[in-house]
Amino acid sequence: MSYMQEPAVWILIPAHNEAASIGAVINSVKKEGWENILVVNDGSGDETANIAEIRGARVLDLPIHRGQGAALSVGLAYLNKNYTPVAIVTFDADGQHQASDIRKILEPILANRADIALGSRFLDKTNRIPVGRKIVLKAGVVFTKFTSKLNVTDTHNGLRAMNRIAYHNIRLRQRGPEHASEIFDEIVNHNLKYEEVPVHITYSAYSIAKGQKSSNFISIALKFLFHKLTI
Amino acid sequence: MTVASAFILFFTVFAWSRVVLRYRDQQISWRSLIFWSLVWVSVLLASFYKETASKVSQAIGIGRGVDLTLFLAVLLLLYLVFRLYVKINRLDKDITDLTMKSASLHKNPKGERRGG
Repeated sequence: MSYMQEPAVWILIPAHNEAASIGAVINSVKKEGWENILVVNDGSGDETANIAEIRGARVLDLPIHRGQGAALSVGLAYLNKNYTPVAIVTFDADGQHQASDIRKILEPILANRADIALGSRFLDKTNRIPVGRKIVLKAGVVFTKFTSKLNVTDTHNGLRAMNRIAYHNIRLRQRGPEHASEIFDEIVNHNLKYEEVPVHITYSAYSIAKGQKSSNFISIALKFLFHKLTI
Repeated sequence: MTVASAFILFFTVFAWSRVVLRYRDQQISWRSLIFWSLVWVSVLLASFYKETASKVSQAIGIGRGVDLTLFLAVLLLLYLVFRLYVKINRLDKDITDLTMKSASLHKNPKGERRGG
């Protein structure tokens, strides 16, 4: 399809200590035809940045680890200032996303149906989600419905696509994983059109170990609520 | 002097000495020195003049002097926790802002830039 070659699409990958997976992730993205890749190295203590650069990505270094929300904010601001791309796709560095889904997540954006497209693992019935993770993610959906009044099926999926309106307006103030809930507030605040897209998630031992622990979700929810109430 | 009064006297003198030391090290302002000195002197007075403390407590409807002390201590702690929370949040945000502003294109160990 022609938009696969769209030069003004950037793939934004926040990464913290992902030396084991970042090379393969970049390779898979490039193999799908996406050449514009920005890795935000979130204060990694390993070879993440060097590997990403050698594999052909542009790499931004944060001097210390600040969290995925901060890394995404830096990446969005950098791309907005330097390239103003037609769309930015955010993609996880731990190998749980499929590069072939980038085309799917971009479709509602490039067809002008949505300002932001949100990946949903629950809409792809082939996903085999571990039971513990499934319960926690469903609780996240209920939580988001309560806090943002949005009807979505998956709230903690890092695979998203944004058009200029979305990435220009969305401001992430939460520096950690709580940003995933904050994005929904921003969608409501800026009246952005959104669409969910079925995406496949690979649950490897590595991605499960690197991902959020199920027990962390309570602390994430509390932090988000506390921030919302007090700041 | 009761054992409790002796303990309070010992602890109050210790706590107040820390306040003075922090002031001498210029880690706290003179306002903080006065504030914390008033706190510890109040604790000391309440422990030595129990009857007067009780009278004050009854006058404002709290009961015993010790209840008034606990009541004020809890209020003070809540306020200090709030102040600490605000300060930690501000520091955390400042560190994040500073880190984000310090973001720079990666230089590999040989100092060359590739990619993009």
